[in-house]
Amino acid sequence: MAEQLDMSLLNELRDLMDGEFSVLLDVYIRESERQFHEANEAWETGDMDRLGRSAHSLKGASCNIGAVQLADYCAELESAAKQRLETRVPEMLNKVTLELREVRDAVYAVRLSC
Amino acid sequence: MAETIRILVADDSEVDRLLLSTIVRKEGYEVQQAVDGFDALQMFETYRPQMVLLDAVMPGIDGFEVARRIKAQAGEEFVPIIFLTSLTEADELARCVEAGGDDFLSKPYNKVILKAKLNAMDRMREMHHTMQLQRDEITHHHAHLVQEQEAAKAVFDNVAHAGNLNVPFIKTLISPLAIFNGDVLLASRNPADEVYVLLGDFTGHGLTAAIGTMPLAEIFYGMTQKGFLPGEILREANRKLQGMLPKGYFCCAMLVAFNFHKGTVEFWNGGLPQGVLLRDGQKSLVHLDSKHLPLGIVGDDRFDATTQVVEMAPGDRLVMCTDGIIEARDKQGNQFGFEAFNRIVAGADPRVDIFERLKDAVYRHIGSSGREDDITLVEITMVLPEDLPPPANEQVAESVTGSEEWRLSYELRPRSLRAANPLPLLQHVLMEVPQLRSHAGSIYTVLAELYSNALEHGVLGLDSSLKSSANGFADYYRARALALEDLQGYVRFDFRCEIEAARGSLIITVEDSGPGFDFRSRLSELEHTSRLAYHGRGMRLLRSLCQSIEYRGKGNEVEVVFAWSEEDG
Amino acid sequence: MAISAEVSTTGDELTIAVAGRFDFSSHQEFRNAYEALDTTPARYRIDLREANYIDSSALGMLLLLRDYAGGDKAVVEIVNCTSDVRKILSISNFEQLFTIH
Repeated sequence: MAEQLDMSLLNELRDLMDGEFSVLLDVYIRESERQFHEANEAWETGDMDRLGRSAHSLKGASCNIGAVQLADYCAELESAAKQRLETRVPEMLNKVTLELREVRDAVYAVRLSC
Repeated sequence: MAETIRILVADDSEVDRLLLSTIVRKEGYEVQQAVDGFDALQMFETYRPQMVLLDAVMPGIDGFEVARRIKAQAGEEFVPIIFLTSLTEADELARCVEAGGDDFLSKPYNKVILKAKLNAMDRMREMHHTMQLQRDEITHHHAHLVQEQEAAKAVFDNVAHAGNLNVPFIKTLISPLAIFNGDVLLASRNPADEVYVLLGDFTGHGLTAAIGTMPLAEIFYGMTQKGFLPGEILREANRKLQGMLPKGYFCCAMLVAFNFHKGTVEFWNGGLPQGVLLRDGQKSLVHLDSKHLPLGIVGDDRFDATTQVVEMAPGDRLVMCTDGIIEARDKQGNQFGFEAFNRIVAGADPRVDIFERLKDAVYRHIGSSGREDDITLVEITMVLPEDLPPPANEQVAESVTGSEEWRLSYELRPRSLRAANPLPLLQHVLMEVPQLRSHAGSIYTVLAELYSNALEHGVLGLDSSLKSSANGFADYYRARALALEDLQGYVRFDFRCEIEAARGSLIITVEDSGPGFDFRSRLSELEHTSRLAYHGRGMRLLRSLCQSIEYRGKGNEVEVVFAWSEEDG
Repeated sequence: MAISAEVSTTGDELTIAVAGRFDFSSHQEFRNAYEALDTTPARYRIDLREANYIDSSALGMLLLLRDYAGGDKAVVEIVNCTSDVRKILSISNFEQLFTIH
């Protein structure tokens, strides 16, 4: 669990957000869900631009929450979508899916301890 | 700043918006959120934030376009835009800058870094605002100055051109820049129908140059019209300017006084380029050099009002200018120069229009250099007295009562003879008589002639035949100055006025302490010569103006009768 | 225009050298050269060897210096003039107020 999230960054966020820390975590969970859903839809309809944008958004939010690995995978997914790499895209989408599941679990855990 | 600074956070990620807003609010700013490009533009208009945190990549209108539109809408105001970006490619960052971005903030957001950037942007905003205020102040002052300059120019236009003297034998050119640069041209006629012209060049520009013009004009016009001598006018002008101008400011000037009856010009040049006298039909030039300090520098005790006198025959021309012409520069920055000026003046066929030639030459020299012309040029041609246009007659309301029968005696002794010119005072007194007012010119001329004879030939003992020799004039006036220094003697005026209903006579008797002269043979000489020797002109002039002239005793006493009748007008 | 000032070793003479155009832009510097001194020199020397142009505001500055240095009692020399500069000084008859070489 500790590998998915940068705990020192999260602790800083906890300080910064004060009582709103749990809100931030909830927002992330909600948003990452939405962005992931969008990415998949885009993939299924073959809309590479939309897929790239979704990957970009998820990358940003994940980065801010301290999910560094997830952010990196998103970056590669974004890049692959932009370059229309037919095989790379599903590969990265897969990696993102798996990592996102882990990150969400980690965030829930942190959420519980608030 | 007293009011809280407003920040707009535009980002399509809710996480990012929440994060940024929290950081920004904690730093003491007020914050609003926009969820995409359209929202951002709308909020910019309604919320009017002072700074914007903008996501570079958003659905709909992208961040770059939003930035461009925000900058356009902000206009002159400086609204810093910090791009929120995870873009790491250099050219993509360049796009941010091109779109008007002032800085970037990369993810993950670090509150320390964001705080530093916001502070820096805020400082820039304030600086920009201060500069704008200063710029506006300067613009306002400038507009004010321009207005003052225009007011000064309007004053100049009334004062600094050739006055109310519109005579064909005086040609003048004084360009607007020359006026701005302090050039002044005044011209007036005195009671004896002499024409005085004063060309001046004040130091400074615009208002600093304008300051001295008014008092100078007042003194010049006032004293000329009262009949004061050139030296007296210059002394008074110097005294006034020295008293009122700041140290380091002065007026280069040249005063020329034309006497058409005697055919002479009396001049004084303090600081202007040499004037030039061209003799009709000859190639030789007479230079009227600057021999004195400009006006306004030294006090009365050190001021030298000594003038020089040169003969001028009808057709002779006097040309003078200020240094604007000499210093007029072409595209390469070369000056027009003294040599060019002298060459054109000397080389021209005397029948050719020197004035136009000089003008053409200077304008050709300046050419397309883009420099404005700073040119003041005056040319005065000597004419015969009968060619003088009649003076503008002032209708003085005549009082019904006034001195009708009176006597006045006025005696001048050495100190007064040396120091003062009595003519303006005497003229002033005579003008108290209403009937004499319309003859002011003739009367003054007569007074001047009688006084000059009494003083110079009588008391000072100068030989007027000196004047007709080659160097005569210069020698004569040098001798005059010397003799004045230790004179003994007196000049005495006696006035008597006899007035009847429609006519009258003014009887003037002048007596001097000199040895007199053999008037009988001189008078008969005059009868028989047609040659207009200078020393004969005085008598002829008196003869033409007065009803009678009678010399008495040794010839050191003369009585003239100036008569008029209402029919003469 | 460059202005340099040097006080003699004995401290009783100040030499101010003006290079380039001696005009209105020199005003402040020229004044500082003689006003900002600790000592009061008995004599002033203005060296115009490097000055290629002098206008009426420069003449005004010279007058200001003369006034500062005591007016009629001031001892101010103007030296090393080019012929152009000399001509301007002579038209204004400044040799009546300054010693000019």
